[in-house]
Amino acid sequence: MKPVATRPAPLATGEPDTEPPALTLNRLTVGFGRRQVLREVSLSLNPGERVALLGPNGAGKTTLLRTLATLQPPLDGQASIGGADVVRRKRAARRHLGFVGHTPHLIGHLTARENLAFLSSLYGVTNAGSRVAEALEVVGLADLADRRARELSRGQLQRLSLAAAALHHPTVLLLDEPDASLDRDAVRALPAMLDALCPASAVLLSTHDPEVAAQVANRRVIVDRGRVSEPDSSGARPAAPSAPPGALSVPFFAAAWTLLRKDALVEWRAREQAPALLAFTLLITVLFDMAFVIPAASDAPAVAAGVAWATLLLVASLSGVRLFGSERDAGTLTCLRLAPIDQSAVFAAKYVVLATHLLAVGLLQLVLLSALLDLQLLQGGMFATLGLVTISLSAVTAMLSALALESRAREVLMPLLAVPLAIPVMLAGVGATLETLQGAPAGGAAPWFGLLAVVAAVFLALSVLLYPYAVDG
Amino acid sequence: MTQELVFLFIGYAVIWVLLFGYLVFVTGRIRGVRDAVHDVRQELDAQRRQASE
Amino acid sequence: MSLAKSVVRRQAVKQPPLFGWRGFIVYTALLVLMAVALYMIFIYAPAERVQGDAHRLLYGHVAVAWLAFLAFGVVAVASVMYLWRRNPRWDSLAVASAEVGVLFTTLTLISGSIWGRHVWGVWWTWDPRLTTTLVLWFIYVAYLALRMYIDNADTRRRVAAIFGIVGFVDVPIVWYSVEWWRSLHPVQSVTRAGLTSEMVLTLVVTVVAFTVFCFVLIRQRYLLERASDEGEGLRDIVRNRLEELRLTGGESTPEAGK
Repeated sequence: MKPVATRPAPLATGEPDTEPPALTLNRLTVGFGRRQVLREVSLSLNPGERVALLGPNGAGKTTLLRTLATLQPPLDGQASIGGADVVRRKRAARRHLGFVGHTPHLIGHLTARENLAFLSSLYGVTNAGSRVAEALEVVGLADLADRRARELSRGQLQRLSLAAAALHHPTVLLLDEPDASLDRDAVRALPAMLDALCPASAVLLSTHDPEVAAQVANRRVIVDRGRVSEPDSSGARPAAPSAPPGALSVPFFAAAWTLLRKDALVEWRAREQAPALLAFTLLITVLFDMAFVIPAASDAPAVAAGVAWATLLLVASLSGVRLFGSERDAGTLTCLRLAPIDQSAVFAAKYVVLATHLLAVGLLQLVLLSALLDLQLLQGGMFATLGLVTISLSAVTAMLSALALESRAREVLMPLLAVPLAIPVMLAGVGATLETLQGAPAGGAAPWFGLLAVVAAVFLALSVLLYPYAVDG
Repeated sequence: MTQELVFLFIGYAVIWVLLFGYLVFVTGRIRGVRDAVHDVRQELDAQRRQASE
Repeated sequence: MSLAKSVVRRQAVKQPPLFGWRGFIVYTALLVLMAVALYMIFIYAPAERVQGDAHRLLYGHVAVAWLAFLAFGVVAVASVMYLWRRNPRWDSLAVASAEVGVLFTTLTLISGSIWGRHVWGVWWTWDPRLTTTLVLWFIYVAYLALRMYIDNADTRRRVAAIFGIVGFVDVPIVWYSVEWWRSLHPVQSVTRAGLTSEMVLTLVVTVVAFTVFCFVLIRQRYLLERASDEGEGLRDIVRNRLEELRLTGGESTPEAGK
């Protein structure tokens, strides 16, 4: 066994090498923290080549593929996909990348067709309708196109994942153990599927089965004892076709709009958040009102102000647990991270989702408190306060939700993080409410609306500035 | 007068006890962690020498 | 094997001694300063007109309160530096300062509460300063809790740095909101008049003494964090070594281990 050459082998056809390699690894070391799993891997793939990474379980194949997929940073060395470095130019690399992992990164509540349509909008696929139909046909899911992804079997999901990863003609397609969940027939059909879906893509697949490697790949690379070697590197390599173009760049607002539509559709179908949140609001409001019913006789506006914004703060910190957490639990966060979009678009969509929830909850509150305390709360000043409080609370909670993603015990941690930071929002909300209901206090008007506006601006700016650091892994 | 002094005494006692307690605790922990790290390092070196022989 | 060897060599960083001659000087200076401060607080400073001797508690109280703010400022600076340079040392400084800051905030709350019981007759009042300090305490306790709940070291450092920055930016917002909130029902504030020059001098000496103490504590906690980081690194090396042994000792064909 001789180690794989750092330089790509000369092409068999003898043509001048004008195309850059689809995938280049230069002394790449991968692992976790200071723990190295694979050391100094050098490898290069031309467009159209299919290479099998062959090695036992636990040899580091998955870690290598995840590193190439920009999902975790390498410890040392470089890798580039379609000429774009996977560390420094993540977004460009993602445009040239398709990845099928162990678990499918699909959205359970969307149909097979909707899943592919969603991804085509994120990847800027042209002629999306016909491309999606073609992909479904190739992977044999045309009959099940309108079945929701959660109703598909594991093998069907894996085939759908393959279609999803190949939609945008990636320069490099990474398949992590495709034989783990595909049945034998599907594995046998894999080369034909790849030929039909993305003939020019370079494919790097991992497997521990030499038979699968022989069926699918035309080059074998052995992974063993933390090293990578190629037994028959002298063999002729196929003539390189032109590399496929990869995905188009999707503008920020288009991406955010796509994500928002997806969230709305999922919420509509799954009814995950809204009913529970509204019931919770009802319960808490009635509870607080009962608790304050005796003092309320004397000071109804004060009770209304306190109950309204304290409840909204609690609701915000509760829904912050699920906001990004639900994506993570469903495995779809990986799908969003792989998309070649400005990652802030994900934040923008989630922000709007949370703000919508809070606005609905706040309006319900105002109606309830008006009735329970016999106050006229449905007026301009209250709506303005609700708007400003919602802007601030959504910003701080959406960001904390992204921060707490990797933590244990998110349910307990979220309120612990959100409540202290949001206390000023609650106090300013109380102040603005009293100012609206009772007129300016005798001691001179405190500029509550000004403070709310400043807080909203500061929290929004902070979350926009710091969110990229929260997700860059 | 005496009550005032009691308050004063309690106040400063709490401050000193917590500060010095923390100092002693942290310093002790450093010693513990460093000793443990040192032991493991020795063990690793010994193993390496054994392996290279 | 050679790789693990080189890693062990590289990891063997020089550790500052726990109690060298520099430590001797620092600790002696600390004790002398503290003794002088105590003398000045209890004997040198005159009794105050209104509060009598109770105000003597305020010297320590003001000092720990100021250091709590300073420590949280250090957390913010170290967090920004960590996000910028990604050097774990900055993160160690941030966690050290946060923990010491929480300790000093706790002391501020306790000493303030004892003083308030004596002068105002209540253990707690929603005075703007007290309230801001309490909210600060919650924010940085949340910071420490957040760190506890994240296992991956890189994620923990990154996430904590972001929270450290947000928390510090929140401080002035908390302050203004609390102050205006209380202005709805104003409470009497402490009279600032009547500070003699002896009192000012006592306050300065006390603040200096506590500042030295604060830096000693942050340094010790920083060294502890560095030591446990090193332990974590060593654990990874051992795991690597074990993995190598397992792979070279057992069957090593790619087909094995299915």
